[in-house]
Amino acid sequence: MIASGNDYALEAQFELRRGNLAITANIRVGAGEIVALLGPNGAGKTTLLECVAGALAISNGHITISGATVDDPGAGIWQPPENRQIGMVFQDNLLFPHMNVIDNVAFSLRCNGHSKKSARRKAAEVLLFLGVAELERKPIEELSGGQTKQVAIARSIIQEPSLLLLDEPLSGLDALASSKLRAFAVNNLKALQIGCLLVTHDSDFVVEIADRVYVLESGIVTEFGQPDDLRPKPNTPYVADFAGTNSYNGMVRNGQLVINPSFQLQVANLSTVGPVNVSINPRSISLHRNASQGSPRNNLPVVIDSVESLGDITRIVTYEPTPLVIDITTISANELNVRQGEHLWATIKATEIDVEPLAL
Amino acid sequence: MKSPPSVQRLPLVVRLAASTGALFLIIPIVGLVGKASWSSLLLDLKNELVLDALQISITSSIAAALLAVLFGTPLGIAMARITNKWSVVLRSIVLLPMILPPVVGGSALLFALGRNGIFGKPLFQTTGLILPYSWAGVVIANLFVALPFVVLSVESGHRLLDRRYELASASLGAGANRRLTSITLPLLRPSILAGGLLAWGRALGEFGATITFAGNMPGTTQTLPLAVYGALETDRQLALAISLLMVSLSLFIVITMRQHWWSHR
Amino acid sequence: MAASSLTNVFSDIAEMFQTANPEADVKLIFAGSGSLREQVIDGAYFDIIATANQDVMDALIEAAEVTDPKVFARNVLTLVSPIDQQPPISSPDQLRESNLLVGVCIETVPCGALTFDYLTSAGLKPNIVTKEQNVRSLLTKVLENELDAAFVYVTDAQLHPDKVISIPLLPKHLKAANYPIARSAGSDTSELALKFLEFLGTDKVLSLLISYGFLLP
Repeated sequence: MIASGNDYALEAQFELRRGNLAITANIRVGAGEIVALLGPNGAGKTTLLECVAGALAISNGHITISGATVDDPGAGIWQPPENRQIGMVFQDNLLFPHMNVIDNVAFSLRCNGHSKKSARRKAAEVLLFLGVAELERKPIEELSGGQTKQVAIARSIIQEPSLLLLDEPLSGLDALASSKLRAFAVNNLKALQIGCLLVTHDSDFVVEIADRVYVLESGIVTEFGQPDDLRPKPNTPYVADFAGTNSYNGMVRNGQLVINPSFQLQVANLSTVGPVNVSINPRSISLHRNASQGSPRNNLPVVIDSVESLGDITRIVTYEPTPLVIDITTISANELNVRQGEHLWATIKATEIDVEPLAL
Repeated sequence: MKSPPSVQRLPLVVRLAASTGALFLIIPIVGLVGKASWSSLLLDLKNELVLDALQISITSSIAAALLAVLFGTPLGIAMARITNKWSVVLRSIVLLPMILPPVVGGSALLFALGRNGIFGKPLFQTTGLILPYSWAGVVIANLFVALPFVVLSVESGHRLLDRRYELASASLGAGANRRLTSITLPLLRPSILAGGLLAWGRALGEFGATITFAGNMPGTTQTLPLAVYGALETDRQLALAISLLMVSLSLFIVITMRQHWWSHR
Repeated sequence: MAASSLTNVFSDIAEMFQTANPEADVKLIFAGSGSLREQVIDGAYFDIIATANQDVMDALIEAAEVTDPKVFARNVLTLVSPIDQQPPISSPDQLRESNLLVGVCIETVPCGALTFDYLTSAGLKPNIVTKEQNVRSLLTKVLENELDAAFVYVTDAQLHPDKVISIPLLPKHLKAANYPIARSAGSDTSELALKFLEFLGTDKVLSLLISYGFLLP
């Protein structure tokens, strides 16, 4: 979805410094678009959310929410958080502990002059719409982790803001609560047509929900695009790790690709020499109990670190010195009966290895 | 969760020192209770002097505690938020009455608010109001020593408070006033209450600043501690009876405070 | 042990006694007379006790705590007022004006008992705003101009001639305070205690007492 002009829920050019981290980033969220912000810890993701929310000020650039500029140091514009048309769901929710569920949800209406009665009525409607009407009268401390997050989302969308900020919505939830909340978010956030800027570590969630992805590393956007575009050719090891791609730095010597002394590969049509970046699609690696013979293939002895089922696909990760992420069909994984700590053989076709010279 | 007994068991030295500490606090109370003549206790307390002092003590200490909450809460919040160099100065000034001998505090009040004091003189000349020797004087002396308890309690409570609750409420459209009344103050309620109770207890036991600033006039400014002090020179049994009354009052405050804390933790 | 109104003069006497008797080690304990009595009855250790009122001493004699009591000095009340009091007070009759702030000692201490005796006898009902436990705290409030007038001992008034004026009271309404001194009835009275009592009768001490404003018995 491409938005233009004032159709952006968020159009921002950030420039600021937090401690040792200099952040420079351009972020856009179209109306109704769900945009994920990915990146390692300390990359500045939450800082960007706090700038949009108004907890922090940028030192250069501008932040425009639905056509209204709320922070532009050059033009001397600054709007405090309460004047910005946003909803924010904090990583730890921050439901007000001295109010029950319905008064938490009704809070923003009360701030805008609604009577207690009408605010509560509207809050009850929102809870009903989100399918959690039964929580209405509950005190905050009786909510489960997942319910707390649902109420926090309800509280921040009741006024239908044009932009919703979500900071790590899945953090702190167990597997069941996490999958429930993912379904909740996918169904509701998509339906509400509210622009969303979301910080998360969960790749499946991003693939399920996000229209576009920004990757922020050390304060800089290193990658952006649709989630599926990131997989085949990652720009950085972080993106590779996130997308489940194998990405290494290595050397080409005498027609041989060396990643480390025990990890050397044959590559078809090798035309470069010197330092290179190597990426291997996890799906083009196969696993065997015995070393295969004869063909011009790469046969590597590997030790299994973890086996994780992703539905039809099973993801297998192996230990150093040959760390590989291998995606095989769950059927063949069951046939192989792979267990952690087992010694197996990985086979990589020479034509499936992508080698690019490293720009120095 | 219960720890296994082997973990709960403290070293002998610690247990001995702890018992000594506890004994040291219990012994004086035992002395009071042991020396009292219980048969005449009620009769002693029905004395007009005691009833007057009780009434003055209760009303003035409650008034001081309420004023301490009224002014100490904003001061505590302000102190938690001020980060410039003046905060150190401000904090020292606020702490001073807790460390200062109350007699010194009373003298300071006399020099400032007395009929001939820096602020008291213009007050007297314009309104004819004299603060010493009055019930208001007792309240002022109590307030001086009790205020820091509310300020400190609220300040430390505010420091423990997650400031992002305010950001959360601001992002929901709450302006500064609503953030204060709907979020900050309710979240600070336990600290305000604890500070208020401590202030009340401190005001109830106030002696030095009161006798120095407000004087000792039975029926007007003589509080229970002042009455004990006077009775010690004349009638030991009466002094004991008043002391026991004060112990019960203080115990009531302490128990209220504990119950309050337990219900919040 | 000595009554608090003896603080200054007894400190001087103790110093003089120690100069004359280098082997002596005089320890002074000052408190209100009533408080002294309670301490003694509670078993406090002492060699010599001087009180500011005969009743207290009588109680101690009755309790067989002391022996050989003897009045060694007397004191009378006076009315003091801040030196810059406007309009100045020159007669106790001015206390009939109810807007003057008057302080007294509380009835239960000797100076208070004397004060109320005087007020009854003179038929005065001043506007009493505070009844202090001791003369010192009463005097402090006069020095700070927080009281317009107060009844204190002549000896106390004499300590601050530059800050308070002393208005004499008619002797016919006035009772003097006797300062009796006695030694502990405990078995062995020390040589030094007897020596100290003897020392009180010397001219040096008598003139010191007079210089502090005490009357001699």
